[in-house]
Amino acid sequence: MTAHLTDRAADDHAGHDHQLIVAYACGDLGADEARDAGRLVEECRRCAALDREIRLMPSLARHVTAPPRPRDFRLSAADAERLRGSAMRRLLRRLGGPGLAPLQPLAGAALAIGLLLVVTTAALPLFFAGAGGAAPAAERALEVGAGGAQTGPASTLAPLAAPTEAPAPASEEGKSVIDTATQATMVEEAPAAPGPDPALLIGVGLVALAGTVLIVRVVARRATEDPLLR
Amino acid sequence: MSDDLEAVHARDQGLVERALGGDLEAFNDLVVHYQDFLFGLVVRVVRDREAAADAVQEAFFSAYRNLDRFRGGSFRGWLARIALNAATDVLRLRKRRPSEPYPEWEDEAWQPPTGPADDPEVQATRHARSRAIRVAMEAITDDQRRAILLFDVEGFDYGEIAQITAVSLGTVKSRIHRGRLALRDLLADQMELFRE
Repeated sequence: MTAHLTDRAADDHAGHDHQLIVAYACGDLGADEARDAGRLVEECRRCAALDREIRLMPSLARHVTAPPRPRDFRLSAADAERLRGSAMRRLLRRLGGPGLAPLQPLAGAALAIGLLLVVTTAALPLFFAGAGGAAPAAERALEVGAGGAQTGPASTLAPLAAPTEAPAPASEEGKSVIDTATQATMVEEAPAAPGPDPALLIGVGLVALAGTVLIVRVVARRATEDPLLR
Repeated sequence: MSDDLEAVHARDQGLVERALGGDLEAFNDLVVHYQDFLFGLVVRVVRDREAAADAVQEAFFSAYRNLDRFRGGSFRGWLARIALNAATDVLRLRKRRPSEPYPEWEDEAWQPPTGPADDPEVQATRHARSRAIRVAMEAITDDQRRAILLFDVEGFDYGEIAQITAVSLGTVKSRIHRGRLALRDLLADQMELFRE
């Protein structure tokens, strides 16, 4: 810039920072730059002319005349009715509109909490338990057979209905096995299934609810989006 | 913000609230307040009276449909944004059909009305100025023209223009600077016309 300031010859004007002069003329420079530009304007005749002419531009732009408005743009009652749309569209607009916007962060937070609950109560235990985590019912059944028929409240003895029948595979809970000592078929009742973890239920509920809210908002917004509001 | 501007915002906000409550007259009051401004802005951008009128009508339709999305502040700026988006659609359509000229360009209706006292020389100068600046405005980019019209003609400030055109403050300044420089270069041979 200092080099520019020493160039007083008009021929050097081409090398001057024209954008700086324009910004100066528009009053958009900070103090330091304005001082530099001011010096250029003082010392270069053509920079001074540029500054003068740029300052003239706002008034020139006002010479762009506009024709008179060809019609009245007020809305008729029929226009208004048509623009309000069907009941479904109004509902979608309400669901996607700014009135329900505060629900969105809440739903996002609920979704995150729900997913966390689902992961910590269901997915993680399964992951850590791996393949050996769930004791096969067969093992439990055999334990019952070897240890006596009346060792637990879950076991009952029943008369052998069909002694020649091949023993059923004891791989599943609740299947009958033959007690070799008593020749009775011991039926192991399936243990009462433990109720689902409440935390898991809450998590699944939150995910479902929050997911529904978010999906409905997105769908409603898409359906009622106005390209002129982009 | 000046008291006048605050009063305008308060008036507009009141009309918006009444319109949201189903009062069509309140919305039409807003239309009456802003239709000249909006048409003047859009017609300078698209340079076709009928296309501009259609764009402005669409803008008011859109504003009515989306009134609940107006977040307060300058209703004029909000409308300008919608209308300029409609103008952009018109220009985009025109670029796909470049054979269509600008039919209004030389129309006398574009000229400011002349008084009986205007002598022919004054009228001729005025027409020559108007034509020169229109041709120059035509030659700069759409973005620069919009920024200059909003700033120099409509009086929006940089921040408002940034909101209306959805660009940064720096981009607005740059468009105005470059646009003015381009206009000055385009009008360099005709500066005599503009010296009083």
